[in-house]
Amino acid sequence: MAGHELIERHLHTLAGRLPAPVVDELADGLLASYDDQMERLGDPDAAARAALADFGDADTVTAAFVRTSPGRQVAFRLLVAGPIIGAGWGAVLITGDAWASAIPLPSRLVAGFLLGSAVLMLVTASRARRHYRTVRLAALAGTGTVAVLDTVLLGTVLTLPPPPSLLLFLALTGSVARIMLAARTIPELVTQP
Amino acid sequence: MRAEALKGHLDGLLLAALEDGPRHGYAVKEALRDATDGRIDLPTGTVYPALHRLENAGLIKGSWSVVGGRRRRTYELTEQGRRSLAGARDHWQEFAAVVSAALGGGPWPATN
Repeated sequence: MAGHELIERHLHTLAGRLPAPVVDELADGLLASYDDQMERLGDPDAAARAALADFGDADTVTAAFVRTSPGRQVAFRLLVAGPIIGAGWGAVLITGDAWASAIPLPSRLVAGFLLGSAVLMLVTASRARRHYRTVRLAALAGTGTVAVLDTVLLGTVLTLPPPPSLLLFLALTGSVARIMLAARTIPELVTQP
Repeated sequence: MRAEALKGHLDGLLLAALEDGPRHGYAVKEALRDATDGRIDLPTGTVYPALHRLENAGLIKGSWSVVGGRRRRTYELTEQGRRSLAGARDHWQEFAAVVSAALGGGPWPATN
């Protein structure tokens, strides 16, 4: 595939961090650059070094792909929206204490554990710099868990209706918006490399 | 030209490089370099993430082919991309005119 050992090594590093189709595309660009440099310089070693210098180091290229990845973007959105919607539900739980206490303790503990896991996944997706796959998988897991939690909350409200209030309306609106964001993003995260 | 100076203008530059027809990533970089007499010479590896971002935004459309035994992804402007390019041109004209006036370097573009 590669025209020179140095280029092959660079592509191998990128292949450990980026999806295969992206690496194929980068390989084409790097090899086209190498071909140009070969025409200009005539020496394979010098041409490979020049092509690699022009290409950019693996960390910079990977970080640029990670920054623009759909996983990174949805993780940021959910992390920004999370505290606002969470505060809404927290207020509903505090003001509707009788309603909250009707929810079994194990269910509340499981919900808390899932929420913590989702936040951890989304923080991972928003902070990883060098591993595109980590961002994608963490964002997928975090978004999916948030969607499940929001769906469970909506189901709980339907089966055990709390006292109606503006806070409840706002919290429900936030949860529905998050479910819609997840429904739009999850297929993209699954199908895109 | 330093990369920071291109901040905010990179999308328009990449779209302009695709205006004449479909190109693959390296050809986009080369077109940009040739059009600016080498003054804008982006690192090859950073052109690709920017193209992916433009594709995700629906401004360009990519398709795969095999050239010389290598898989190649070629990009072309979408209708939305053409509109965005026209907008970027208008915005640049206005921006350049305002900054030129503020810097006191005479009207822009220069007329003889």
